[in-house]
Amino acid sequence: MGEAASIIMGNPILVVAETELIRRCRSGDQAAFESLVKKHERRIFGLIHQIIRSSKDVEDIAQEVFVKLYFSLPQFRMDSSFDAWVYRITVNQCYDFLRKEKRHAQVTMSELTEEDASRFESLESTTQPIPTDFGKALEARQIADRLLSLIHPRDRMLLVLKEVEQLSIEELADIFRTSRSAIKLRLFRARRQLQAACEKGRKRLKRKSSHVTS
Amino acid sequence: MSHRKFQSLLEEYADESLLDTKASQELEEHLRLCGECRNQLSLIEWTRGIIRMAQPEEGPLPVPGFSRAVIHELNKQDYLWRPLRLIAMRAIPVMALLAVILGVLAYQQASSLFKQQTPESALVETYADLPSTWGQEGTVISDTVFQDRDRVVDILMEGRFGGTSERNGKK
Repeated sequence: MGEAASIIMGNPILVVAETELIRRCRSGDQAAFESLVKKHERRIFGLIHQIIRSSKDVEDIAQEVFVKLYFSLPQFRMDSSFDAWVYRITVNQCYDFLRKEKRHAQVTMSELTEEDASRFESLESTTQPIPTDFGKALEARQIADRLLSLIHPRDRMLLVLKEVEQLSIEELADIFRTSRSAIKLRLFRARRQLQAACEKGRKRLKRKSSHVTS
Repeated sequence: MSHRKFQSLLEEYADESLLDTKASQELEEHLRLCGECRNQLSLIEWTRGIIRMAQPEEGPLPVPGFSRAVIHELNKQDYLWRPLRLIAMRAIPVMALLAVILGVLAYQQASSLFKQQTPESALVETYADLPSTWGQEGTVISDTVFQDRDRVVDILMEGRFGGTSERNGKK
């Protein structure tokens, strides 16, 4: 899990407290559920924002996530990870939202423009830390954001959970209810998609510049 | 370790600290020799850079009272769905019971049909299994089978098997 989640999971007192809260919620204690919401709300807001990449609908989606969480608590197995359970509900809710918004179609049709590719070329290697110069940093962020918007939302979610939330392969396998090798394969494909989107833009840029010189 | 095995460890290796020292050393040795694995590791690092660079600016924080709003929404939905849930809770056992009753009835019907067909079809099958030397001199066949033979011929010649019994003058 992310840093905050690791601290929570690593502390036996907090784990016991959370287990007790969940038990109370399951028996219909709404005050206990309110405490559970307060405990997780910041993290859920952040995760939703990471996935849908817009501030507008975060609160509505977060509310739906918590409502779903409450009604699904009877199915939660107490011996499994509660964080993974919360992540799973959040990821599914975000994916439903993106599907409804039809961003899907918009994403697959759009490509990296020559301008984006040219700006991208002018930047230093992306494996370097974010540029210290504010203008460059902003530009880098915009291009990287544009690149991310070109891949399938499901793959984007997986990459965000892996690289931003810093979840391990095991935790991802738990959230997506699949095997570790399947997660590795999906991650590899998602990374290749990102690379392909970038290459496409570069090729278009090269074609354009060769047209101009000839 | 095989190339595939090393390839499958690259994600953990890129996460640092997730592999033990021995596995890391073995993988580093393999990386020196394998261009494909080096490329895959570069791809992991490159995409990580892109994703971390694409971090959206500070997103919205939960407004004060968000948790209260969630509880309010819960009560609203609980109020709306409670009657349906109650109906569903009662309907499920009733439907399960109906399914069991229907299953038993269907089984009884099927077994009675099967029983009705058994004598004739079994008789025909008995004759079908007889040796090709049937009827030739020296073939030993029990008396019962011989007695049944006429019945089988009747069954085969009757309408239900697509013919007529000329021997008995029946249709």
